Amino acid sequence: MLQPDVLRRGLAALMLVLPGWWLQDAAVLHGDALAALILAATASWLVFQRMTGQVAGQRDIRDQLLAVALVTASGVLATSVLLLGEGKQVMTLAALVLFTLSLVAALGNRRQLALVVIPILVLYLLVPMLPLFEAALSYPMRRLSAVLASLLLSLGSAEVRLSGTEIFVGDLQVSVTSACSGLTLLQHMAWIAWWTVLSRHRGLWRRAAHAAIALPAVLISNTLRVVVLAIWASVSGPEVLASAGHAYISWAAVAVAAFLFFAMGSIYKPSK
Amino acid sequence: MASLAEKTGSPESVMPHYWLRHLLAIALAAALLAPSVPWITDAWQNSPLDSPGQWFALLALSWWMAVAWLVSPTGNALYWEGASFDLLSLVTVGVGVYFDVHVLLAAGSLGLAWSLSRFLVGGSAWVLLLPALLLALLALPTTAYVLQQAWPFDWPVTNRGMVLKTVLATIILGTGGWVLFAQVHHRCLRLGFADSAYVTLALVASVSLAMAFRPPEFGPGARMDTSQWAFDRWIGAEIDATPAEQRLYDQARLSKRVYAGPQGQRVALLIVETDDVHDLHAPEYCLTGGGWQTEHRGTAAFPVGPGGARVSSIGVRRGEDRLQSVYWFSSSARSTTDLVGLRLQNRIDPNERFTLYLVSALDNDPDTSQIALREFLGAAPWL
Repeated sequence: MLQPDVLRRGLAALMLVLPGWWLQDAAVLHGDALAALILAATASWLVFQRMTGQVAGQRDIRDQLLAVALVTASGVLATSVLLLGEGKQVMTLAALVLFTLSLVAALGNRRQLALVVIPILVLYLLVPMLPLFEAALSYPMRRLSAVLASLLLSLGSAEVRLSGTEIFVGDLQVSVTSACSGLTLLQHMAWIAWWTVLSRHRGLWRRAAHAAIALPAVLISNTLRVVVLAIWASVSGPEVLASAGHAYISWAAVAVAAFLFFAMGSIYKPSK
Repeated sequence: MASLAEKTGSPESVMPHYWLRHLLAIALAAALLAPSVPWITDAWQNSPLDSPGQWFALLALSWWMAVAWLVSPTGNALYWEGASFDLLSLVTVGVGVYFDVHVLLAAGSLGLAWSLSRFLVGGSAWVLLLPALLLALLALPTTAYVLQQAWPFDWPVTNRGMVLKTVLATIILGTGGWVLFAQVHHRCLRLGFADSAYVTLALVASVSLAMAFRPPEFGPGARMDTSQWAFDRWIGAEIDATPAEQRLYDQARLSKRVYAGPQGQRVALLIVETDDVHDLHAPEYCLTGGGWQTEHRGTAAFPVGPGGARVSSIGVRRGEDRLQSVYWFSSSARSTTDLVGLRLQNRIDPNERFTLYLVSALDNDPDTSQIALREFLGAAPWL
């Protein structure tokens, strides 16, 4: 008889080959390479650990039918990509995710499938599509940071105007550029949040609820960064925006975001 | 879920005349494959890339005989468990007939023969005959080309398609041998309807996925005015096609020319016009079959023709000789470098005639070759 454990381990190894391939592509590492690599490494470790570990529960007909349903959805999605034409990279990758999940359901069971859904989505969808996500999220993040920062700055005595992602404080103009969008901060916080919820909680929803705190933590921290930079520039002149102090404030923003994440996360009691 | 041993019953249920049953199953396969035999034998004789196909067919037959010798046809056929394979094979045959794709028709026929053989040889032997089907598929023409096209790495090996087929055959035989050993020692595969449906659907989905990653694409038409032999200080002369080329492009109108450029550059142009889309092959097919080794393959760095069609670029090497070429297939309306797209388009509009253009720089230096190709195609007369 074929040993399912051997097959699952082989599948786990195969599942890590493709993301490794994608990480060879410079475009994937176009943004913050370290954050992308840590995300990919975390996801790879989880996939391997959960695919090669003991599978809880027995396999039954529902697992087989789930595998059939997933592989059918994968085939339909892949065929629709062909009919719709080229350039449907997200749909193609989604079809690949469904195909991979169907293999997990076929060789394991639905409990194991639930364990590997998130790391597979990260490895097969988020990592290869990072440049697209960055392009899609950059402007909304810039705009949000600019709006929040201008609101905070307007509490002061100086006249504050906002135009797109440009903040005018008196005669000073501060641009919230892509680098100031908070996207890199979000990438860093993503893996910090992931590791935190993995170590503190059980269950997908509890983990997701705790991890979601990363977003407000990043928004608050990034807004504060923009505000501090704007005030500093209005006092010391716009040349400080090109100084080393700008970089130090950015690093401090990472620490503030992490602090806020842990502080706000204390509302969740550890379930592990 | 019952194991095969449970499904196939006790030793008392051994089917009578089991050698005759195996021979009948092989005869069924031969009958279903009969319409494809002229195409297969012609390719084995004339296409360098497909010529060793008969050895894989022999391996498939040997595997079948080994299973017939080692495993008695016992018990019930897996009626419903095999139904999804019947369906997949029938769909493949249907697609092959509808789109007039020889390899799909032959592959579907082989799949159907294997799937139906469960009624003759019993469930346990049927599963163990799967390696025979896979080896027979490797024997079919076109598989070597498909494998070498699908292989993503630049691999400095002559006749890469044949090497890939050999590696796959070794894996199939090794895995099959392991399962056969397990079966002979009464430890067998488990198979149920849901499993077989999953395997069938996974095969279909993987083909769709492979195509979704590389969907067929078309560009604007890029046809040359082949009546002009002199243009913009380039002068051409007809040369004879080799006997191998004449055999390969049997029914097609073949024109092979050499053009000399203003700085002494020399460029070869091969034009294949045909009414039958089956005559059109990608140049990698014959070049790699002829001992050339692919150095690079991709899209040419420059657009071609009045509409700026994107064409394929290949660099090959044989010993000290190096060749840089670009090629494309074009009708008056569209161009492509994708054979699958070509076949699909031909099915949509059978009257749309495609022509193969293969332009090669006769210069060992890849850099000057690329310049010569760009200059020639920039000066060429377009329709």
